Amino acid sequence: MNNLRLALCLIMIIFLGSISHAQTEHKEFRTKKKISAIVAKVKSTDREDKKVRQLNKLVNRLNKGLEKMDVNNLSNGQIEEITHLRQEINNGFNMAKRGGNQQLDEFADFFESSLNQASEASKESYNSVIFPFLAVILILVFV
Amino acid sequence: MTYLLSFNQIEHLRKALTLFLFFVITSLCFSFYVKAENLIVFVDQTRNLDYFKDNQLHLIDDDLLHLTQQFHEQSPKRLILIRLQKVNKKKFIGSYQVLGRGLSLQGRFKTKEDLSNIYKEVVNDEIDFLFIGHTMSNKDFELILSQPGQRFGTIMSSACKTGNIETLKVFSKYTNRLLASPENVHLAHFELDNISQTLSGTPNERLFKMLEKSFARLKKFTKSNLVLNVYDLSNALLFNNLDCNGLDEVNQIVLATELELSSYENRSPTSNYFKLNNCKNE
Repeated sequence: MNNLRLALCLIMIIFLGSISHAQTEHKEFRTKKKISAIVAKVKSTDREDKKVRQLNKLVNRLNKGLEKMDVNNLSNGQIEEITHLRQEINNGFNMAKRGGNQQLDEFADFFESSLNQASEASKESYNSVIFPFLAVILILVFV
Repeated sequence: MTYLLSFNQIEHLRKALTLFLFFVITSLCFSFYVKAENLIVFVDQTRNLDYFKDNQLHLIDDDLLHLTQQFHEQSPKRLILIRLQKVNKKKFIGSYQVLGRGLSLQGRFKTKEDLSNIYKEVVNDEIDFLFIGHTMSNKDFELILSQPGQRFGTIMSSACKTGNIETLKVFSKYTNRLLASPENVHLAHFELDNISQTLSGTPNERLFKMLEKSFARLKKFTKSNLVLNVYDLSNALLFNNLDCNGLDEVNQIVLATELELSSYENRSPTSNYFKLNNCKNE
């Protein structure tokens, strides 16, 4: 069991190392892909409650991530843009919920296109919606 | 001795002469157009430029392949495609492909000097410069624009928020005519289809056509604010403490605009009516 823990620790260290070394692009790509898939789910259903549920997950995850973000490494321009994006997403979602299916679909498209802009701040936004690899950490703790 | 022509012969001769004069006048007119013989497409692939729309992945590599397929060794316009892949203090690494006007070359470069030497070999006459990438610092823009060692007929910047005063001043060192946006630009980038036809005519004509086609393309992909402007960078107002509050002044440096605003997005607090960004005194 101790050997297994040791092996998992080593795998974890290597994994973390590879992630920190210029894997940001892959993270961005995977995140964009997942967001796009969720947006497609939103648009594929006719049920308003399902659309709202899916979009709620995305918006909440973005908000939580942005709250926890370390802004010390960001420029004022990036901070301003991320704040701006967060306000737009929240205001937009509130507006879309009042507007019915079509508005929810439009908002989903807006969410997707906001995170496909050629902007530095969008890179930071991806980090806030990344799906963490908690499972591996839990295995290490409990094994 | 006189040579008499029949009525039909005179008519025939008159038509042939009209046609001849038409061709002479047309070729003279064309010679006054400033033709952009070269097109540099500079793609900053140090960051991922792939994009999603409706859960469909669009690869920048596919778009660039489609671009190069429009050119060949004998094309009248020369395409110089530069793909920057890695940058650090010592290295400036990427690949190049040159097609048209008798050349078909490709290879790699490892330093800024390598790329400058490549430009010296393949660039002559008037050039247009199309940049595709994420937002860059003004210092980095200065670096990539200075490498060909000459001014451009036009610059097209398919990157976010390059329509700000300080970046316009940098661009003005290299061109009088710019297509750029003070807002974000979707990664779906400016229109690359039939680019030789689009970029024909005078600098203004080239940019007005590119503006129309790129706007139509980006509208299909983005639901955020979409703003594209053609700027006159030869206007001295740009350097005379351009007053962001003065719309009349700002309008003089913007020659054309296409704009579609999103229901979900307001303008940036530092934007001047979608003409310029970084206006802090509104």
